[in-house]
Amino acid sequence: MLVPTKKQLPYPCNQKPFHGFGLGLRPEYYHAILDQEPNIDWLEIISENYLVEGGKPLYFLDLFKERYPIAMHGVSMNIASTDPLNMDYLNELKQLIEHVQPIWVSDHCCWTGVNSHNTHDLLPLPFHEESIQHISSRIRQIQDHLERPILIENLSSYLSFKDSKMTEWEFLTSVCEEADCYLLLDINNIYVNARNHNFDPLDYIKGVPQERVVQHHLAGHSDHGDYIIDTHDASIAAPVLQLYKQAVEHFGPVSVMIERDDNFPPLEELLTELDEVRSIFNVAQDERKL
Amino acid sequence: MTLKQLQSDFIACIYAEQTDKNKENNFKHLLCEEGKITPEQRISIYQNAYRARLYGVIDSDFPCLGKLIGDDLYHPLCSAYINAYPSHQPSINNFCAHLPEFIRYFDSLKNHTIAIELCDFEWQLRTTFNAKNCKALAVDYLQNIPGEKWPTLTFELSHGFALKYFSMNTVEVWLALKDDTTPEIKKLKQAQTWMIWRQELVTQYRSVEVDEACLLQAIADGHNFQYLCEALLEWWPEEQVPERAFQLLQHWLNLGFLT
Repeated sequence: MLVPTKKQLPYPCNQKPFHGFGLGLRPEYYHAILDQEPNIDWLEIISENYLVEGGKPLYFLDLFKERYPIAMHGVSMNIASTDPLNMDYLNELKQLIEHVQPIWVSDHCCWTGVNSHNTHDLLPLPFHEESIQHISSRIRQIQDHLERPILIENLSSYLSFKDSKMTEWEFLTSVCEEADCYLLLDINNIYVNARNHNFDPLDYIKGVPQERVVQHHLAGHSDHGDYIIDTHDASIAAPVLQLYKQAVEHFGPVSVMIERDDNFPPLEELLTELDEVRSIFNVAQDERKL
Repeated sequence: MTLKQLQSDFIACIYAEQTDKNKENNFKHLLCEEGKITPEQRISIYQNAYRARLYGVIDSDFPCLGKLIGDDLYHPLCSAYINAYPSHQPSINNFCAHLPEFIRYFDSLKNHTIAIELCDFEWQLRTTFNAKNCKALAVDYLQNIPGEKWPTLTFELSHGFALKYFSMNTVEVWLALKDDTTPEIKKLKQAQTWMIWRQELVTQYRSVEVDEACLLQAIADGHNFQYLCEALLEWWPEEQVPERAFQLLQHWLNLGFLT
């Protein structure tokens, strides 16, 4: 039985590492990135894609980790599930962490399955005290097992629960503080949820603890008018880029990357998008200094 | 309501076909009414995403199966498989592991031999692709073995190596479908053995002669070199057995699957 303990944050306030502008590493871009050595500061992998015994994924991972700082981002930690933690998964993840030596490890503030079933989807839960205690206790156990702090990401959601007693950002803040973990703040997900649940996305940005935000995600979505689906299959929408600018003005330098998981364009197109993110960042930083 | 009960109801609702309104009703009363989208529509986003994701995994692991059997057979197969084998693993990588067996008993495909064999072949390619790395024996390995050790010598096959027995021209059909051309499907006069392995990072497949298949199976079963030579007597005169045995060993070393 793991005994949850509280740990000191390894990054004191205002000394969070800033790794710049990254991309999600996907097999579709392996060769283009290796051949072109483009202007990318760091890469984020989907951890589960490399929890395999051998073959191409691990071969390419070794090539990339020699060339770029790597962040590990998972989708299967099932943090908020009421099932016991899957220690086999966490052991495999720990082995991969030892191999990759990532700049950090993240997963989502959600659950993916229960009663030993896995939907492979990121599922929401009610924002109340029972959820906070449940999740934060599990994050502490995970951090103890992995022997490092983790980042948890806000997810996109399409429903909310009558049982909720607080806003999503109040909930995330409480979880992070109870668990002593960091935040991977997905700007697109904030925008998606703001539209799907009718709140002001700036309230969200101003409502989470600045000192715990270590990374941003940016991605495209699919706008259906009355609701938005977080699809990662298109370029970043203009309102999300605008919200990102406001996030930079509020949080200052935070490592940021673009996730693209479907409808893959040529690498050049993603690099142009990353340049646009850089420009927005620089403008926001300049305005912040004024 | 406890978090555990809420999660159990949510997942039952996601797994349910959208026509199963009972499971949906157990869950939708927990949801807020928001905007123009009803709780039922919000639930259906998760139901659709769940099925779309798993359909996507099957499509990715079996890129030619759907092309072979067409949507009218492929979609019911996928849907029935998703219902019969919900995922229990954190990784989605092995979600389709039971499909080659499932298709053998699926009513509308259980007599569709080419579909069954092609499904088996595609899953083996997938399994071999992700198999554990191992160090292949060097090509000059045989030269350094003292003569007296040969009879008891055993070999191991690399992880992901497999032999498949096809009664149809399955690999030919798969190649045609991969190229988006119409395959000519034929039953073979005699079943053909194929070996699938990974050479360094590249998945390979090749048909093998009957004596070669027999020896590879014997190696997989742990038999020694003396046994392999005795087995060759079924096809070769005694004086040609050593030559054939060394020819095959040399060939396999070149292909990189002996470890």
